[in-house]
Formats: sequence, structure tokens, C-alpha cells
Amino acid sequence: MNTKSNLSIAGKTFSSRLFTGTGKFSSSQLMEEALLASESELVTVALKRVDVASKEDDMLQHLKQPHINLLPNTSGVRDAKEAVFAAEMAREALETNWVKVEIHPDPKYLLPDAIETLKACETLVKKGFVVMPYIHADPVLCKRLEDVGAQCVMPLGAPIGTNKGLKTIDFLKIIIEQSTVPVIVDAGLGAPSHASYAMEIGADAVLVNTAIAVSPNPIQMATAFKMSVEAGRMAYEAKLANSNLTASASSPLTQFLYE
Amino acid sequence: MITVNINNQPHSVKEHSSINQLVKQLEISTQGVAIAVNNQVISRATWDTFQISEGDNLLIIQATQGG
Repeated sequence: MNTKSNLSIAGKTFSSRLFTGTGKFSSSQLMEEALLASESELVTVALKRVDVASKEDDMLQHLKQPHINLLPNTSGVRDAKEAVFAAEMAREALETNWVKVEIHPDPKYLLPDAIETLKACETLVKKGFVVMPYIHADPVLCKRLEDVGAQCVMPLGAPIGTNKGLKTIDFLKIIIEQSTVPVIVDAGLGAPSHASYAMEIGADAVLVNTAIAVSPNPIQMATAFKMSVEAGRMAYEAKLANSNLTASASSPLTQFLYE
Repeated sequence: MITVNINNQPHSVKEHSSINQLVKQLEISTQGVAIAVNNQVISRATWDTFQISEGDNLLIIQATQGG
């Protein structure tokens, strides 16, 4: 749990606690404008094979702002060995040793393979990578990842792209309580209120993609997420009031109209 | 000419080509691109000297949209 106002991961400081993805936007131009509105400083990209036959729009041209750091993911790999290879390719392509380790062989639910993810992180940390593992909200796995040197953990709120919110809330709370590395809630955050809730319970950051990208107005939605993350963090730092079963008057109960 | 596999497609390229010469022949952008030959990542610093051979399997990747 990181209680400072600025978030720090592996020695790098972020003033925004909203990380964003670049998938599913209807155009690169709209993606760029939404990411700027989000003020996000860490932005994920995936890897694909170059289509030698076609000359495509280079999406990196739209991610050139100096405040944007790219975070390549390993989406599409099936096991730890492939994830390590993908990370090494990404490091070469994008000149970053940061990698979001994402191993989800089953396309129906895209749930992360805990065993392969742990193996991949252990190897990648030894090779000098900063690993950001996408995992189920499993407190035991989070501690195991810390043990092998993961610089943060990225437990899911709900499966990728479902927009269902914090279905794993009770386990996220345990993870946040126990973690000595930043906890970034990733996946499933469908509304700014979900992101705000994650921040209120003490998540260090959130990663949002689908909810912004598929909105009819991604720029406005990115702004809404930015504000909700800031509000949630502010509330966490200010400390939320306790909840009670019985009422507690906030106005004086003197019967001033009659004796 | 020799035949190599690039992203699982056969391509004819000039003999003794370096990686740098290959990407020129293919007319692909090298910005944000990584190349592996036979599952070994080839550092950009050695693209000029690394020669490809008949039957090599090349993987050429670039960044794309993703979450």
C-alpha cells in the first residue's frame, strides 16, 4: 500500500494513478485525444506480427507525448516461456524493460494462468525486467509474486472487457492490506464509480481500457475516469467515515417548534 | 536469392542480406519493430552485421493497440 500522494513503481514516480490501455478505440486519433484527456502516464500496448504486405498507420506516432510511458503487454502468449520471449521482443521494439505480464490462454474468459505468470515473472525479474503481472485477485499469489521480485501486482476486478466492476472486492481488500508493492486494479472497471471505489479502498492505481475506448465519447469518459480516480484517492487519504447500522443525527434534534 | 520464412510466409530475399538490408527490401518501417531469427531476438545494434540464411525463420513484430 502506497500512502504518498505520488505513486512510485520500481523507482519511477507517477502523478496520475490512472493507467490506460490502447485497445478497441475506433481510430488512433481518438485514442490519442482520449489518452491525453485521461492524463495517464502509463499506457499499455500489445504486440503483433508485422504485415509485410500492407503499410499501416503507425500507432506509436500517436503516443509520442513526453509524459506517456509505454507498457508493452504479453497478450497472446500461452505460457511462461512465450511470455519471456515476448517481453524480450518488446524490450527491443520499444526500448523499455517494463512489461505487463499477461498470460491468459483461454479466450472465453481471458483469466490469467497463475502458475505460468509466477514462473514468467521470476525469470523476467532475473533478466532485469520491471514486471507488472496481471493476475486473479489472489492474495496468496500476490505474496508469491512479491517474493520473486514483482515490482507491483495487477489483480482483476472482473474479467477483461466485462465492465462488471469490483466483483473481487473482498479479495482486493486483503491484497491491499497485505501488499508491500503497489496494487493496481486491472480489468473489469466499467464505470468511473468502479475506479473510484477501487481507489477508496486503497488501490494504488487502476488500469482502464474498454470502458473508455468503447464509450461513444471516449474523451469525455477518459476525463470522467481521471476525476473519479483523483476523487477516490483523495477520499482514501482523507479516510472514510465508519458505517453504522443505526442513524446518527447530523442536525440538532432539539424540538424548536414546540415544547 | 534465398527463401526465408517471415512471419510464417515464404519470401525470396537476396543472398548474404543483413537484417538492415532485409528490412529495406521489405520496405517496412523499423520504428518500434523487433526481429527474431530462429527464436533468437536480434539486437538492433547487430542488424547491420547479422546475415540471414536459407530457411531461416524470422519473426517481425511491432506495437499495436491493446490493453
